[in-house]
Amino acid sequence: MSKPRIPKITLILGTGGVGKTTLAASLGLLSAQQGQRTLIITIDPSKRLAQALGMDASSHSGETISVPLPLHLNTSKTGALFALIPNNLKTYHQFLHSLTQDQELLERLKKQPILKSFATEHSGANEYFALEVLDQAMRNDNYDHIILDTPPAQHASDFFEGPERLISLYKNRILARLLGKGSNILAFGMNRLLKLFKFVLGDGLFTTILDFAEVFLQVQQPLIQKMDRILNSLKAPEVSVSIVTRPHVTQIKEITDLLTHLRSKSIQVSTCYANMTHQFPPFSGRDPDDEAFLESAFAPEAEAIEKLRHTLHHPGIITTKSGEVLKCIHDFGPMTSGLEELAKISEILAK
Amino acid sequence: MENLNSISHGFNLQGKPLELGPWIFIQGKGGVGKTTLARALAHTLAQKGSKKILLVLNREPYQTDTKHTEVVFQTDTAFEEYATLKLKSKTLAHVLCHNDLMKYLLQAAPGISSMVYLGYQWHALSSYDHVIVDFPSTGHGLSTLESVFSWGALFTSGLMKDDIEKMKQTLLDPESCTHLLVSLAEELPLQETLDLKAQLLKRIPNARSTVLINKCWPRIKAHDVHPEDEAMNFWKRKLESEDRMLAAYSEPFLTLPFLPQFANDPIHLSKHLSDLCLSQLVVHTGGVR
Repeated sequence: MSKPRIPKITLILGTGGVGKTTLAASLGLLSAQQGQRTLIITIDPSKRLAQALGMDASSHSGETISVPLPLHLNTSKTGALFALIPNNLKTYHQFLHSLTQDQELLERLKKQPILKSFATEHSGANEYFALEVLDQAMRNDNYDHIILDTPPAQHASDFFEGPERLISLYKNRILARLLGKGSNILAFGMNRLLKLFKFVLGDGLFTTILDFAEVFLQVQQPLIQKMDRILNSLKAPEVSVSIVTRPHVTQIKEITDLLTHLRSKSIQVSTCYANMTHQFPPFSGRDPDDEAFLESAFAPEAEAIEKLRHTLHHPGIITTKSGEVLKCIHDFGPMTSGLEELAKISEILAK
Repeated sequence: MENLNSISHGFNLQGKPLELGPWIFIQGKGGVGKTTLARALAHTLAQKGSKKILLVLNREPYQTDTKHTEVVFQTDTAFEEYATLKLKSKTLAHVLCHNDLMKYLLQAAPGISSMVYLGYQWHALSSYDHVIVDFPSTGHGLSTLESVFSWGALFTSGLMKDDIEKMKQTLLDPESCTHLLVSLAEELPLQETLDLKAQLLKRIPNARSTVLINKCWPRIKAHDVHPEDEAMNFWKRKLESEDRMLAAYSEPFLTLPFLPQFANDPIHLSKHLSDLCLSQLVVHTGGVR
């Protein structure tokens, strides 16, 4: 019998298209190489990357698989790598099951289109269900380190703000009023409004809204409690954040907003990766046109990196280690595929 | 590989010019240049005689640049304007839109918001020559289009039923809609874009859709690259990988050039891109509804 593990949690945050997933996979590989039992939870990986991790992206089964490491990559013998692509619909159904034992109610909940749109369309749903999956994995006694590659989002701080918007919608009291619970004066206003709604939206949608209110109110309390607990679990000291960004000036505001958010939640930052930098040594005797193009293509990067470094040196930021938080990862050209490629990035990360 | 130098950027697919319908959707990942392309298209269309263009952007852009183009943003007001049209009363529309229940509903079921967002543009098609839509990010565009079919099914009666039915017909009509899927000359984004195209064609089988590969690097001017010049060798490898990738697919792509010299000047970037590439467009206007 071994004592229960409290796994270290790393959240990989950044805007879409900066290379979060590849970096998450490389960090996972590094962690396994260093002897940790590591799980990577990755949302929406590219086919190639999924293949590199031994997964079939099209299946999205929601099952955890073990990624066999070649001997030369796993020198520690104790490390192991696991990967999981969550299946949103499956997680959503598990979520509903955890709210009620009543089979009839459960069927109605599953069929409710407005409730389902929370799970499939709402910005924040992807993020929330990623946290559900993380919560399940944390309670599994199998891992030393869990790396969550956060869902693609327009803004890096959506990972926190999305679920918060979602939960505030669930806490809204409007649905109780819709069903006539509340004062008479409110009910009178509501009745007139409902007539207008019915006229504009039609019977079909109107019935759906009422059905939503009715079934939702029966699970509102357990649902809110559950979401609150899950969101709070991010405040645990085992949780830290790695930020991925590109060396563009447009990213500075993103990173500043994200850091403000992390500070307000007392979440620690371990590293900020400036991904795909192109800082080359000067070379004399180039064709002047070529030289001018290279200058315009790469010079703004140096400025962006300097600004990033400055942003990260803000005194309010809580870091897990002293020293340089910013790490530049050089663009070494197109990836082919496979663990060997990821191992190349892991090597840079290890330095 | 010797004919690769003859690759020219532009709106020409294996000798056939790209044709644009009146409703133009632009989709792709963040940072691939969707907004720039949207603005460049507006510029080109205005030069080709389009008198009234509606450019729907999802965030505050830089200033407007042509006198023919009206710019609107991901519209919070779309629903109210649409409701005013349908109810023929500003007061009723105001009552309908400005109450907690409607606010809640639009947030709880984003599909309804998406549908109204498109409905507003669909209405605009009757008074504009072109409506160009810059969708926020990959996936979002598709689910916005999808909403008309999924949520639309719930509108079995009411004021919006007929419009939704007609809107579906417009979306399914390849003459009316053009889908531009913007990608980069990198493997992962391109694969994602091709997946997106497959999903789009599943939803709208005859959709007129084209993949555009943006930010393609220029050819190297020098004849030789010094083996110790790291930057030039990176450039060379970059071009080789772009060429390899473009040759690997049987499907034709449109390519647009990487113009880093305009990085801080989006208006000139759009104009330059328009003058450089978009002159070969064939444009269809009007007659949708």
